[in-house]
Amino acid sequence: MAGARPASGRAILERIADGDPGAMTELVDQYGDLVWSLARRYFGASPIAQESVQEAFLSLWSSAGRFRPDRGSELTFVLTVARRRIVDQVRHEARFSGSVPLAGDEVDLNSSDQARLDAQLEMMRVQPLLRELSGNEREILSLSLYEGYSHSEIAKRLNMPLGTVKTRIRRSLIRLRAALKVERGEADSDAG
Amino acid sequence: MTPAERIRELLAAEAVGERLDDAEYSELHELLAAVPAAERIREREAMHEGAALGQAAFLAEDRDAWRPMPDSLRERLLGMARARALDSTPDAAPRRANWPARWGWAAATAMVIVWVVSTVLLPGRQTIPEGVSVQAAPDLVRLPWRSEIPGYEEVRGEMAWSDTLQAGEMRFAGLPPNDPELQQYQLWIVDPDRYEHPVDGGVFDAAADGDIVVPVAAKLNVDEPVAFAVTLEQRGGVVVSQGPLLLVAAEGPRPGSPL
Repeated sequence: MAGARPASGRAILERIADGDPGAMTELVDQYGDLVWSLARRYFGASPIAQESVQEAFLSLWSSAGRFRPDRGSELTFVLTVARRRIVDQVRHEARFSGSVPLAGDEVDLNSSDQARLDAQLEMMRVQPLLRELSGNEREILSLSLYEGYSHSEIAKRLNMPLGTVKTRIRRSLIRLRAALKVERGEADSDAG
Repeated sequence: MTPAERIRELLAAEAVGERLDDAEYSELHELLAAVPAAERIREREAMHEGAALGQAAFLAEDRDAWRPMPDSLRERLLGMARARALDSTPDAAPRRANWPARWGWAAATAMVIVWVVSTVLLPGRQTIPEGVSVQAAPDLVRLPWRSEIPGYEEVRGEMAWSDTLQAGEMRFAGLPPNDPELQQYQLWIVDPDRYEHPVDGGVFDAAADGDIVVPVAAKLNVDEPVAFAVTLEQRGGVVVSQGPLLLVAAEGPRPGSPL
């Protein structure tokens, strides 16, 4: 899965690490909506969501030098770093407010902004990974990752032993990661 | 359930944002201490990557969830990016190298340190797997203690730290002895990528001759500490320190870091 790359062929994060002065703003243009959409899942369109997005980008700019294009895509790196910062904020705030659209936060599916379209197209490449999960695993992971339910809440909601919930979440994460590795392997083969 | 499965279960819970209780954190820490350091890091990263991929995949499915960033936030971020671009060159390495300058000694004397996470590092608590020496870690970074505080300029020694082991060793020569009934030295760690403020590293006492070795082991995950600092506080340590930072060990670019 290739990361979004400019005409120069170098990932944005690589150029940030090299000191390209325009690359940091480019990262915001490219991934800002994605990181914002992730933050909204946890905090709604709130000031805390905005704060968590700022923290995420500060972290991304700071850690750009750790990005290794041979080990994964830029999208995966951005997602992983940004999400960790957002989850840190969730732990700090000890709350999960879900997705709460507010005025001025409308969907813009007809955006012609090329960077935003590129980011959305990249996201579409991640989506098929969910096929690796069974229906039940997918439901549990969605409740945990996407809806913000705790393990015990999921167990109660699905009338399922807590241990089973934990085991399925663990297996699902491992399976998603394995699927990505397979995809990387195929990409390498194609490239080679 | 095998220890490996239990580790993965706890790491998965951590990665999806589940709040581990103290007992679970302790269990995770003890289990992780028994596996090779490289594997430990790999497992944790793999779980976070799996969680990020899963969340992105659900997000991609949910068109209603995709929102453009508010213009005000975008402008603020772009402003921060431009200011940062003007202010610095490539970030990761200089950020480490510049830490002492950024928190210069004049400012440090009045610096307020905020306690964030309970006992991230525990001096004196050795949890490195038996037979593994911090000094033998392949990624060991040695950071000399520095000071411009009267009475501490002559202190010698270093903080030796391994990211992969999440452990280190403080060595001091000539550290002024403290009265442990009244005051104790307190270690602080700076990991700006993970924690907004320096975090409490626990307390320790100087030996009468000032020469001591204090093992330090991470209880919680510290990604990449960029600096360590020592203050002298009331017995038992403090939540908020008024400083001054008596000693600081900060690093320059790490091997392999971009310049």
